[in-house]
Amino acid sequence: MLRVDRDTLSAVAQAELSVSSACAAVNALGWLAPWWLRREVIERAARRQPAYRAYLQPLRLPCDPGGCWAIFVAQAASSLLRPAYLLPLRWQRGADDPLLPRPLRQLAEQIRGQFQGAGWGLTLAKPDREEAVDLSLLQDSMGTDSAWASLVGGLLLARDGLSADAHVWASVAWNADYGIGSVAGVPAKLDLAAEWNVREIFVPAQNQPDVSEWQKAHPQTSLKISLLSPLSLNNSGSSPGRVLEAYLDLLRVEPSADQSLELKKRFYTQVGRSRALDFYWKQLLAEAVKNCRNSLPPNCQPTHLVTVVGLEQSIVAMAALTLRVKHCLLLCTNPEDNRLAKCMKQVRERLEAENIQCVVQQIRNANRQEELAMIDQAVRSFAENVPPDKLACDLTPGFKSLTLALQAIAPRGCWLMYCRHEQQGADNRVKLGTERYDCWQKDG
Amino acid sequence: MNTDMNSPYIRYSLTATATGIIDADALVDSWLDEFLELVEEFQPGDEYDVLALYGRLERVRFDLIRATGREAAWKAARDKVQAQLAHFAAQALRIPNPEGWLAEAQALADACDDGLADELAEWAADLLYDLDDADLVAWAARTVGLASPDEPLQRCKEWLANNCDRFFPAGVLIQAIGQTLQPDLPALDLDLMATADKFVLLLDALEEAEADMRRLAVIPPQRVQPARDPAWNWLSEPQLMMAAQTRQSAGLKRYRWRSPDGAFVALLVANPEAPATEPVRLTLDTTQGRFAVELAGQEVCLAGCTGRVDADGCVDLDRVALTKAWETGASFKQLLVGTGQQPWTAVAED
Repeated sequence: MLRVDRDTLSAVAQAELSVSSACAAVNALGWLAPWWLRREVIERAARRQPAYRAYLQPLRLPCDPGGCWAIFVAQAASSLLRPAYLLPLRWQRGADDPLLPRPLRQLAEQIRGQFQGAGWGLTLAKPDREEAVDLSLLQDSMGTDSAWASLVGGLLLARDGLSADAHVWASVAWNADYGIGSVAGVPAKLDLAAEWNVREIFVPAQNQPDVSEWQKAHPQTSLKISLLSPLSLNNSGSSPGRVLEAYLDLLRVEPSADQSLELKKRFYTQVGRSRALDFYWKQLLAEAVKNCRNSLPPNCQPTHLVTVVGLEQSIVAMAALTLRVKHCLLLCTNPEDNRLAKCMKQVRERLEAENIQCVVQQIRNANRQEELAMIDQAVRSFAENVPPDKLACDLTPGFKSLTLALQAIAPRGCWLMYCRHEQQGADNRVKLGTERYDCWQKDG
Repeated sequence: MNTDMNSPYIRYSLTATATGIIDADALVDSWLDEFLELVEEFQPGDEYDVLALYGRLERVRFDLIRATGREAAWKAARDKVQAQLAHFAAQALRIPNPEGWLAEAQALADACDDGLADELAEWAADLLYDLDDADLVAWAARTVGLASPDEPLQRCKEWLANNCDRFFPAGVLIQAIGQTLQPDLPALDLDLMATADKFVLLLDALEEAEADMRRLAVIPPQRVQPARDPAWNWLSEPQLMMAAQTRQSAGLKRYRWRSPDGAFVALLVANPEAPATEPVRLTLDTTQGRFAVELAGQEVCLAGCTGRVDADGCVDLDRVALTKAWETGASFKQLLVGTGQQPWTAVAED
């Protein structure tokens, strides 16, 4: 086992670059060398020990559930140590890794208390074959406070079984009064994030002057820097998780199509509304459709459906997919509205991929009488020669005035339908698995 | 990990077991977590889960319980459960659904030919846990004299016995559970031992399948033999057939030797992923960190493989020769530097 204490780190930090000092530094830091040492140091060491060329390969952050990474800054300029460097970590069931620096274990303990993390331990994310590196003697050589947000993200994703996005970073400390506490070494951390092609990094709003200065020096950067604002935790009722909401939302990686439905449901309930809606459309709608089919009366077998285009594509497409109709009339108020146009395009593409022919009819925003007339004409033309029991009108999506008008003009004997579902969360999103259709025949 | 070579539940011929990638400690830790939490926050309706975990932990090796550092908590929670065993068992026996299990198992069997490996593994593991839970709850009921649903449970076990291969996607879990079991269960509780019989059947079938694959050269012949130094396993890294889900990450292997006078150290750093044609380099330094230039020109011998120290204190050793030496059981504990000298001794990792 390699032991890295303050003296080891000082010796590495103070050495001048040479093949000999590079070898000594890599030998001393073991698997942490490529994370902590400048690239040219590894290159020098590899001249004497070719196996160290493996450390020149791109490093991979631990993104699997529980994986997280903390950013630290060197205490003084060094020819060998990077100005800012990463420590790859992982939450897993069990105790904390005794090889971690004590302040980091204390931070892990604090986070377990804040986020009901009993039973989870923080460990070094060491590659399997590598020799262990003992960092437990590093007491004050690393400022660990700024690892708070990253560690929180890792723990919450570990509990949910979700992977982390390697391109979303945070360097944010905890403050008991305001949730967010300032951190040190922001410019060096931003340099490191830019080097890693990070998409977005979250830093405390208190560090805004550092950020402005860095941005002035890097006008071409594609790195998005988001400031997390302190909140008064005493009065606002905000929780530690709430202050990190924006970061956690981006950090969660969408489960892939072949992952379990359980995991997908967890992702859907954990992310922000916008990502949740998008994910429902991509990966959960098919399951919902399958469930909804069980709620249809056996004699409800229409071939034509009329629906109103609203802003949520899933609920617009759901009825047509559930009924497996052959033709669908999409009533749309204002195709110039970009959001409606986008929704219409997505619905149309999806239905046509399922061999459902779509007809789009614009309904001008007007008064009730005019809307009734326009919809009546559109439906008559669409359902010409269609027996009433082969026509369905979905009253779920779209603007209320249009669905009410649709209900009014729907021919006697046709099917009217409405999707019910239970709601969950503060933003009343659909509770998965509860979607079902109420179907009835008009004047039937 | 402290394991018993004679345990019927541990099969060293299986690749995942032989390569030591299975973490039985973590498994026991997670069961104990769940059990303690359930007992602590007990709600009516939890009886079935409590009894299943209670039974599962009763089967676990004592050293693994001790290794969790929560032996006292386990004993206290177990006492609580035992005090209410009859009541819990009466409630829990209402839950098993053998017919549902059989239907689900058949669905797994149907899906095995075209399913995704990850999904099948999870599915097979869930089914195995479900059956084991029912088995353990029935055992707990019998210990307090209640009649358990033996006949339907027996049908599930028969199905498993006839379809062991359907559980192969959960092969690593099966081996891991096997490693948690007390080797002398028969001496402790024959009835409890019977709940572990399914793992013996599954392990037998796994062994047979891996042996068949070796015969067909789908996986290399068994490489782990007692004579071979396990620290050098990477020289002939096995394919992990049953451990497809295990996280594998690259890394370098390091070995150190110290000269008899303590003045020099040798460090061998190997990249197991490097091509066979790439030599493995040994670097010799003084303990002050200087290159051991004074050893230039000396012959070095490790496990019968030789090289010569260059002007920078480096020696290249042939990777293929080292691999062959390892396969024949040569010792890597000593490094010979120069002729007629005392061997340098390996510095153990601590």
